[in-house]
Amino acid sequence: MYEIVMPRLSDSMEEGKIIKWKVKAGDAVHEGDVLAEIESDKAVMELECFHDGRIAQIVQGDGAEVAVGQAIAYMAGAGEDAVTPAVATQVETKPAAAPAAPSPPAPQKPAPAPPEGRIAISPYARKLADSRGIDYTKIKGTGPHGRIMAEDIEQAVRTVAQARTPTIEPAPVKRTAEVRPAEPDMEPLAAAIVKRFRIDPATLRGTGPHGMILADDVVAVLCVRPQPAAKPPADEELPALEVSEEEATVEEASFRLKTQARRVTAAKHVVPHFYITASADVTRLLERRGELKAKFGATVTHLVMLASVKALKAHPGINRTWDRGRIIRWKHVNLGLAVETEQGLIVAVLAEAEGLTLPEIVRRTTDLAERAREQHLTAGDRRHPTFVISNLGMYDVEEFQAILNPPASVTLAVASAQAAPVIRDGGIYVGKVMRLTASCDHRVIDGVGAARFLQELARLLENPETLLEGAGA
Amino acid sequence: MPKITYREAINQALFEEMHRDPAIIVFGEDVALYEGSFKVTRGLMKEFGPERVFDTPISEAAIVGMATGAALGGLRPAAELMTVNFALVAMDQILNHLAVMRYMFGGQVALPVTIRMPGGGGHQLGAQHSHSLEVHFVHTPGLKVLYPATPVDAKGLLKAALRENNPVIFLEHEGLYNLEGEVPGEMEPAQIGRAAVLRAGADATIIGYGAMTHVALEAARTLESLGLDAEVIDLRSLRPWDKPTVMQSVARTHHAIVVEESPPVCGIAAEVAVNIYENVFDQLDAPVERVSGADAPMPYAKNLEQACIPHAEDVVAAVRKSLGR
Repeated sequence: MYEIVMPRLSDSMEEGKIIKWKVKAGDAVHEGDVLAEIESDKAVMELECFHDGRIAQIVQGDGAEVAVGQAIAYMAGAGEDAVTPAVATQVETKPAAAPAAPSPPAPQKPAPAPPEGRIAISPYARKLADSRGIDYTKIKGTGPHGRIMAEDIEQAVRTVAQARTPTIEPAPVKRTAEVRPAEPDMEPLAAAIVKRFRIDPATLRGTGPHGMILADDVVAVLCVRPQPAAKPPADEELPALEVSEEEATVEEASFRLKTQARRVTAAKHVVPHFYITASADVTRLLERRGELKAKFGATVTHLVMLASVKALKAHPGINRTWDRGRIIRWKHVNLGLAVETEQGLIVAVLAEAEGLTLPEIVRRTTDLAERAREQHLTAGDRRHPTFVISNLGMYDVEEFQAILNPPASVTLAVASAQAAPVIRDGGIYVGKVMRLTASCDHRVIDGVGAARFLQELARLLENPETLLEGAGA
Repeated sequence: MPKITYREAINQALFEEMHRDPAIIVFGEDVALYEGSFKVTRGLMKEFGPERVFDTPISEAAIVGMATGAALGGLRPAAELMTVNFALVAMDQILNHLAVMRYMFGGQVALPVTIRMPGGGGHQLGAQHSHSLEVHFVHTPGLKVLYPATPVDAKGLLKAALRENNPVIFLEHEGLYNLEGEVPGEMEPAQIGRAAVLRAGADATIIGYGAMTHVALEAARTLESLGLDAEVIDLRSLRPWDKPTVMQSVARTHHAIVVEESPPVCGIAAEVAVNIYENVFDQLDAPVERVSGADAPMPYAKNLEQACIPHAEDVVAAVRKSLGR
């Protein structure tokens, strides 16, 4: 049962008048149908329907003046009986007005609590349910007094995942809630200065006990306060294109693509990239390609992944991230791999990839790539890449530069292995040379560090025996 | 690393700091000739002489007042009150002078005063001599309040208190004096305001302090045998207390259980709980559980007294209630 409430049609609207209902009880309605005409303090507007279903009851008739948020009608969802709610008292209101901002692509918004009574659900369980697109009104809680707890939601997610519903991500094995650390304590004097000079607390780095922000820390920021950075350029700031139908077809990009566009713009603008390129003579490695392919199904991508993991072990300084004045040293290598899918580019992540053998890399990468193409990736499969590989080698690319994919501080752009003259031991021969270009975040990685890392990577790729040593091959 | 008792750890901290800083003096009832009612000040008078270690009349108000005056005069007194119960007659000196003087003088003076006092129940001493009064001090702006649970923290925190320029109430638990633990010979002071995660766990966070830390640890061991994985945090410092550590843990486990020896009304657990609600409400999968001392004067009868003090099984029950398992 859905509640249809008086929407807030303008910022200043407190109540609205129902000019005329366009539907009556019992009518079948569909998303997008006009239900009624509502007069706000500014104008007469149409009230649209947001669900498919049937009008169960209209509780405020034509001409009624109703406060914003009050129920004006009830609606039964598809498949529900259109039973009139016994109690009209509102338990929970849900603004029926369309939000201005695009809502996240939750598979299905959980229905609001039915008017019959409150649903007991813990705050964390509700949060989980919303993020996983689970309709918790259908779940029976196992907690005290029937409270729905996080475990109940996780159980529901597992059930749904087992039913192989493609739009719902399976629950991660471990609870990995995004934890926003509590704000550090601030010395009273520091707090006073922050207030007086309107300093953004996020820019402060506490040096007191347990990160307490001391007055000195605030003064330090105050004295070297940088000029406010220019807003990152968004394409919205460029003049809008005026395109006629003869010139082109225009469609609205999906929410996912818009998000990706925003992130890639931010990454390119905010993260100070630098690029460094090395060549690896992979002649000997490619000589063994047939054998490794036959034995393990290994491709050049897998071998570059193996080399990267090994090189990162020797240069752990690469495996870290700059974030708002903090240096995050990752305990694991989360190896991101740019995967082409029908929906566009996706970075799939091999979590905790350090120490993986070649057969394991092949198995997990194949699994990830398949699920990426079938849109079955979970949040865990996308989470926190610390190093990203983008391989365009199969498309005869000489070399290229990639945009970083935070939180990874390096994206390795792998080009084709092309025939080229190689000078070695005073002689010259035709070998296969691959160009590797690392895009690096200069806030945590410097040129020397990146160069040493690339040198090690190239050394491994040039010496298959060293590369495959201890890698299960 | 040598194993010593909680009592010896406090004694070591006094020895080391008095050697380091000649401004530190120790006084209280029976602390010099008799070497302390709980023998915490053993050997101090012999080592440092009767000018730095001396006995006082039986007047807690005088002891605290003298400590405040001595600090104003440039010394760093480490006074002992025989038990926390007797601090009540010195409350005017503590709350109305010691705690507020630095503020009232606009910070022109330092008040490096440490008042040590053992407390806690469980020894059949009756209602008047079994108080857990930590809340009364924690409630007072101007004081820092420490409550070590282990020998190593007893030493580290007392050293920190003796180097602190604000008044510190240093609470010791009578039931922990014989607790043994590894303590380094020479050690740096601990950090005031920082909790310790004594046991990492994924399912629930148990927050304790003082003797209750050990109750929490025992509960965690029982829970482990039930297949439940509890994290145990020892607050160590009650004012200021370590909100970030607690919040980060609760945000990870989604369940919080606070154990306190004192009665529940306006207590430590209430304070911790409301901070959890204010900071990480959305991370909670159940209400914060409190396991507190009984809201009653401490009985003398052994069975009743035990019933008034939190035990591991109470904590186990609270954790299971929170988890619904």
